[in-house]
Amino acid sequence: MRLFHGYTVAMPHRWNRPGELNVLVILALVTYAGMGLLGWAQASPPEGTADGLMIWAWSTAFFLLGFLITMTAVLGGAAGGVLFTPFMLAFTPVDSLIIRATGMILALFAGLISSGSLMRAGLANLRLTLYGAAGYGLGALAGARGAVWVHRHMGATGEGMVRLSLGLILVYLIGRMLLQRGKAEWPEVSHVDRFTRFLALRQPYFEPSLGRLMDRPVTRAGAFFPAILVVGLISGFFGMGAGWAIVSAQNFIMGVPLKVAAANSVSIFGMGGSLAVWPYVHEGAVLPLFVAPWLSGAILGGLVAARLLVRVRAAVVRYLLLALMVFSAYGLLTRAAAMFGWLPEPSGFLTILVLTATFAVFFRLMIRAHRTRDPTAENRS
Amino acid sequence: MTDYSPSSPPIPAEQRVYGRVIYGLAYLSCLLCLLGPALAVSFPERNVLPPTHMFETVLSGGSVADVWAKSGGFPGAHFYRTAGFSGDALTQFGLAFIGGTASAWGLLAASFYFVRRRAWGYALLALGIVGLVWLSALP
Repeated sequence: MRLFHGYTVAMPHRWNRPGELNVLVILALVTYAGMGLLGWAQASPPEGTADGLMIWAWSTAFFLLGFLITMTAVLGGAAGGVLFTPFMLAFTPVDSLIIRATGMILALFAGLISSGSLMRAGLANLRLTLYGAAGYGLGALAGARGAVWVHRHMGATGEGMVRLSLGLILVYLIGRMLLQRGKAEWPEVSHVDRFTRFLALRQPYFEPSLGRLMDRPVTRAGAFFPAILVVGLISGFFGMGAGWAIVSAQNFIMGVPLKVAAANSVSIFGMGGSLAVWPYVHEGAVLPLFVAPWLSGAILGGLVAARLLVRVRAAVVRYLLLALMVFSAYGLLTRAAAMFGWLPEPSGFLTILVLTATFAVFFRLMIRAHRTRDPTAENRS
Repeated sequence: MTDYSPSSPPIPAEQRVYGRVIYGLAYLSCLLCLLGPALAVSFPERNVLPPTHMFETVLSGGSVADVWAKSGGFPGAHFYRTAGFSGDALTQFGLAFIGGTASAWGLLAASFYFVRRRAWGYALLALGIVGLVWLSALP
């Protein structure tokens, strides 16, 4: 319904028609079943090449993993790359540039498909996304070019240094989020500076978990820009979404409510990632038939997550995000330590143990947060 | 004073248009990424990079150069222009051209609404990002 120039009434329950998702699911099932039958029926290939059935098995496994990884990541305000890249680097012999290129594609598409829904629902903020994507995109483009350069010219030392510093930044952010429990979900903004007011970033949104309209001010947009530039640089270099950092930067620096920050962060990937992905594409590191199953699964996962994100409680998102951050920090620090020879490479078993323990702890906290009534709801009723 | 009800916040037109365009293009790209591999397995001889060789090399830790060696080297990011109707070319078209430039098309549409609203700064910022994306996509 048109209200005044340029604005219409939001329709929160209609941003994704169920038919679109159903078409994708049915097409995915038909395609992968057909590929399986084809692979099974094909004659044995020449020696030294993979057979059709093996290709189908890998493609299907990649598709399912892509779905699970992206759904979890988007709910935490990140894109699939933040989980995909460490996982693939830890458990597979696949070349690191191919992994990072695929991770960047996953982050980009998870951002595109999710932000499409979140923009239309009004949870994401296009002006803030544009402003953030300008910094993130430039940083990520430089980072991706740097990754290609490092891959060609440098050894493991440079990557180790960056991973170590990234891991330490993550640990710092985790500590801040844990210490500022009450403030992180709904940060209080007492003063809005002139530059932020000039940018006119404030935009109301409907919060379904509270059943009311939220209209919160934001501040310190000037300080946010260099922060997201650095985040983009790291994100582009590693080929992983940096939702944990973008959400935190918006939340801590600008005072953006956590769920809006999560929605903005996937939108920033969708926009800024379009710049970062091209150095990998031009290098030939984006292998279409390797990326496709990951991507199809990731897009379906992103669609499901975007539907859940506007309904899920802010505290639940926060704990999921914290779990992702803890696991990413573990991966980065152990990998850096191994690169410098301080510690042996962590075994796959230890990594799975850390992952399970992390998510078990935070899953329990999520359940507790889901059962507890949101204090902000009481304050506003 | 608000012109909208508490349960229905206003959503700027440029935001809705941007959301629609990128969602549609990403969805189309996803459809191509489902059809491309099926086509590649159905007609393996038509692919620029044979899928059997690609999976074998990638999963055994081969480098980017090793993977493309079978095709005589990487033919360039936009190889779908000359590769004809093959599975990997169709997938690359969906991934690189449609997906990689989706936000640029969305921002182009959004910039029109920014101009209508006389939000000149945001219109320029949007067009600047569009230009950067297209420059990055150039071979």
